[in-house]
Formats: sequence, structure tokens, C-alpha cells
Amino acid sequence: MRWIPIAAAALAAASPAAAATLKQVPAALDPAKAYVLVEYRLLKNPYGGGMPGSRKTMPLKAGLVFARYDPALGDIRGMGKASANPVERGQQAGEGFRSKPIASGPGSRLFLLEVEPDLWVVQGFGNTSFSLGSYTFELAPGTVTDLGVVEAEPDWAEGQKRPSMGRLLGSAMAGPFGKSPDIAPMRATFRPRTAGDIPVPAGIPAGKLRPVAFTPGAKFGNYLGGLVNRIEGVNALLKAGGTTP
Amino acid sequence: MKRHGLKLIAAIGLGVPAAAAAEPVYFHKPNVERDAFEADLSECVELADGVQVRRQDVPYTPNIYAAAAGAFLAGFMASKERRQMTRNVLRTCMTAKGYRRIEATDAVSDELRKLDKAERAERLFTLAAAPQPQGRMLPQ
Repeated sequence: MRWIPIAAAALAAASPAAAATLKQVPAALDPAKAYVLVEYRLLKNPYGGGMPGSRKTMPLKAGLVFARYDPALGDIRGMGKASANPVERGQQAGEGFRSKPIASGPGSRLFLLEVEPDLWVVQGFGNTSFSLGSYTFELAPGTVTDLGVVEAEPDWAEGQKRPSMGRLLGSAMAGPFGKSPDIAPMRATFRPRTAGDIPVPAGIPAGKLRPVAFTPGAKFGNYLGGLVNRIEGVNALLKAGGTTP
Repeated sequence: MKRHGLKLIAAIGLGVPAAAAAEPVYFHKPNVERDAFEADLSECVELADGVQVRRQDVPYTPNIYAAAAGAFLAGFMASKERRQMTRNVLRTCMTAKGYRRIEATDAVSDELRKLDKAERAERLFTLAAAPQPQGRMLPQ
């Protein structure tokens, strides 16, 4: 019995430290930590159809996933090609989505994350890993990096589309033997904050706030276990007449 | 790398059924170099290997037959979901690298079925690199 607290302490020491979930701007920024400010635009409800009582936007159940990146080895630290460069013991290797906004606006939510200073990559959104090409960004200690406003949407391939409500119901009734509805990876678009967005909270010192500098082209393995995409969307780029090098 | 790539091609060989039909599909990029094709396919297969389907929990029942049927259906659904996700990863990844999906003709499918692994890998590469695709070009 005496061993249980010891084992628990050993386990806690072995696992990476979870970052604090900030529900408000801290009274003072920790100089050993870095902070990320990001606003999500909520997805429109595709099945609302203007019916009375239906919600206009979807609840924010999934979001951005960040990880620490090694540009020399070309992978997420401690994984795949960068397995020789794990993060320091006790530090966090990644930051998953936690639905704890510090501010809300009509159709948007503002988040403040506290993480380790390092080079980070946008690893994915929800179940989609941006393994085919994503953005890295540097987080300096004691500063708040503003990623701006992110908008995510499904990246439908040519000839595919979001299933209608009738189709979804039909699939559910057919059970395992029915044809599965189409699926699509997500894509994400970042833009700088403008006057119409949620303002930067007053508690963040202006001298500590800096806009993000994204570097595109980071590739890595599929460690989220879901679909993959480029952050801009392979299919969206093709539809726009672009190429996907 | 080359041997590894050939194994991969043989393993993948026409294992990507089109979503809309049971016809098999292969990837095509005119005049692609063998090394480039193997590297592209290898990278995409690696990403597809990362797909994980969450375990489907079956509600408890004291009826052993109901439990067995539930577990069977849950496994069936998980397997179906995994195949669909794997197809999607391969499609997105190979599209990003400039390949088109081709629905193989019956003749090509029959021919490939009769070949052993090494011959099939070789044939799939010649199909992928051919100036013109042999079969119907599917949506990107």
C-alpha cells in the first residue's frame, strides 16, 4: 500500500508536464514560458438550413494541435526521423486542443496557451494531421505570440461533398453494410487579427505581444492517427488552380 | 531503397478500390522516374500506416450470442472505417505529389492478378509511368 504514492510520484515524474489551461490572462507572464494567442472562427452549422431553433454555428469540439519541431531532422521532436531529439524530460512535447476559451464573441472564441519556448509546428486540426506541409513558428520565452484568427473547414476532394442529412440517416439505418459517407481531411487558414475580431485582452502587456512569423513547408509523420493534408488543403489548392509541390 | 520500394508497390498493388465502385485503382503520373515513384509511394504508405481507428466499445450483455454478434459488427465497422481512412490518406498524399487515380481496366486487373509480387510491382511502375493511363481517370 505504501508503494502506491511512490509509484504515482514516479509516474508523474516520467510523463511530460501538462501545460496549464489558462481560463484568463495571468497576472504576470512566466518568463520561462511562452504564450500563444489564437482566435477560432466557429464553423457554420451545415445542417441548420435556417430552421427555427437550429444553431447557426457548430460547437468547438476540436481544434489546433501543436507540437515541437526539429527542422534539421525534419520531424516532430522525439518522433520518427527526429526520435534522436526528444524534448527535455518533464517538458511538454505537444499541445492538444482544450476547449477553455478566455473570451468569446459572436461566432468566435479566443484562446491563450502556455507552452515551452521552442520552434513549434501546427501539427493538425482535429483528426487531421498536416503532415504534407504545415507552418512552423518560433515562440520566445516570456512573450505572447499572436497567431491571429484561424478558420478551419473540410477539404473536399473533387467529386466528393458533405453528405446530406438524409444520406447520413440512411447510412445510420443501413448500419455496417451501408455505403459509408464521404470523408474529408480538414484544412486551416490563418489571418491577422482585424478590428472586427475579439480584441487582444487588456491584461497582455503590449510590449510582450508579437505577431506570428510562419514558415511553411514543415513535413512530419502521421502521429495523430487520422487523415492527412497540407495545412492550406491539397484539394483547395487544386480547385484554386494552384499546384501542390 | 529500391527493393523496399518494390515491396511496397507490390503490397499496395491495386489495393486501393475506388470509393464508388469495386474496381481497383492505381496511381499514374506520366514519365515519373522509378526512384521518385518509390519515394512518393513509400512516404504516402507510411502516412497511411499511421491511421488508427478508435476501439468500438460494445455494450455489455449477459447473452453470449448477442455479445459475439456485437463484437463482430464492431470489428467489421472498425475495419471498414480504417480502410476508408487509409484510402483517403493515400489519395490526398498522392494527389499532393501530382498523381492521378486510374480505375484499372478489367484486362489490366486480370493481368496483374496473375503476376507474382515482383512482376506485379514492375508492371505497376510501368503503368504509373506510362505516357497515357490505361483505364478511366478518376476525380482528383
